[in-house]
Amino acid sequence: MRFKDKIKGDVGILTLKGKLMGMPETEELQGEIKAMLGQKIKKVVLDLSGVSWINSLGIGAIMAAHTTMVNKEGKLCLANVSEKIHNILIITQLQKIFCTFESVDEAIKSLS
Amino acid sequence: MIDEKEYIRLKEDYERLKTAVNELAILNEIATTISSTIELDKIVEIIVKKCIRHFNVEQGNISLIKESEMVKPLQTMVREYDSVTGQIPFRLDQQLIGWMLTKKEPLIINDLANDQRFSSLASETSYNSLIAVAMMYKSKLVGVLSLYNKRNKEEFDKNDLRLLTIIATESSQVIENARLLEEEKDLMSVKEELRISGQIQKRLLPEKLPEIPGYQIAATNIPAKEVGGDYYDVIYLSDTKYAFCFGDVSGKGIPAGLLMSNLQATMRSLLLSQDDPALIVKKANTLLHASTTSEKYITFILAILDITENTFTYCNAGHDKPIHIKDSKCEQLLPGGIPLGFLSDFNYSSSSTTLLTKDIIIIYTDGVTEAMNSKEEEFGLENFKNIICENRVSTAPELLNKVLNAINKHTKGTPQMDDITLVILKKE
Repeated sequence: MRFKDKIKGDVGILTLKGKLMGMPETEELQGEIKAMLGQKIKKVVLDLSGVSWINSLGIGAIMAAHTTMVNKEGKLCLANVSEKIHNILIITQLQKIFCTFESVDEAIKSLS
Repeated sequence: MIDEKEYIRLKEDYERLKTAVNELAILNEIATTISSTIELDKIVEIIVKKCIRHFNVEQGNISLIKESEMVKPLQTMVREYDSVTGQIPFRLDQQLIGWMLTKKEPLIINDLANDQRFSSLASETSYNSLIAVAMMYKSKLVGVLSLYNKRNKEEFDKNDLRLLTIIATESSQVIENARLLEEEKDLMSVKEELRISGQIQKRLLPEKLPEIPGYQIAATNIPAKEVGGDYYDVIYLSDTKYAFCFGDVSGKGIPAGLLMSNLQATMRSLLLSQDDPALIVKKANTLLHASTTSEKYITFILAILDITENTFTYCNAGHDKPIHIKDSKCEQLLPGGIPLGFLSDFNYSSSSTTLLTKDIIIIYTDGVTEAMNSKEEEFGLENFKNIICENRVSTAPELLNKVLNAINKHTKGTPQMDDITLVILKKE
């Protein structure tokens, strides 16, 4: 899993690339989120366009990132959600928890 | 008469032979004693003790090193440490190992205080001389054999170095073999633990399902690893009510297994006092959230079957929607909320459906629909639904077999990636 981060105004954008399906990725993502919080960034968009594969552990990783943000009174949104991830969010009903957007720009707009 | 020159030559020959015999004797002694044991600690101890006596030194030490190609030398781990007559100070040993890792050459120091490489350590230790050789096996450093402080103010010489090098060379393979044997033993015990955990967990699943008047049930759990993360239970509550629990814990292995047994205990105790699925699931969610880390969760279904009203009241917490065959129509049950363990408090909702004669309810994990063949094609929900629909006249156990056969036909022996768990309920 590779990460790219960018900050636009007060919104952090984390672009994820690769497979999101295990413990190392969960910890890496946690590290990235904590780094954002360390820079006083409390609004984060996860750009999932580059996520080629995801499983139940990957969903756990995203949920853990969400929990970390919310616990610090932050917000986390998802952008460019693939059909596979969208289906998982529907099955698990997690679409009730996450706000998802078609693009990063739309996500930023809603957070600003 | 032997002249003086001849006498000196003979004496020298005698000394040389005596040394050679002594050297051969210690080599022989080490070889025979270490071949009688396979225990690593014993082997190290024997070599060190024999060296201390033969070389007439105060202390001896073997530091075993696991030099992996993957890690940088500085991160190399010193796995074991054996010393006789007291401990070698840590810093000196570390510095010696560091030196050996880079140079891999033998080392003799007879005046430690004035040796530039190690002088900083001389003041804090009581050492004045040392000899050290690398123990190499298949061109990798496996250990360092070192001796300290020659007695009687003697100095280490070339002969000492030559003999110690031979000892180190001869011992390296034995030590490496013993170390590998130990590693294998450790691995075996981990495997054994996994096997036992798998067995314990299998015992958490119901050995025999209760008989429900007017209904057929069939269930199976085929774990992908020794310890799986799927869970199901059918619990008798009263003569008219039965509970169905069905869950999929994120991840696999022992952590998933532990979470699963936690869930089972929680469910069994909550079901003693109430029978509203949504309320029980809400409480279980709060309890699990408190005892897990934020990335761990369980997708879960709790259902209560009332056999007088023939109602199936359920709450689905983020699990794949069960299939309901009703009058030859194939429907899916409704969702009730997010998986357990994500949020500390969440309001779940229950739904209810009435079961008519020949109705079937199938609860399954994604290990069924996502079972893959060698081309990475999934078994698929539509395919799964079609097979159930086509075989809806079968009994519950027959239907279960037909589904499993269809999965096997699809995967054609491709290793199973996820647990396959199914519970089939059919109204007679």
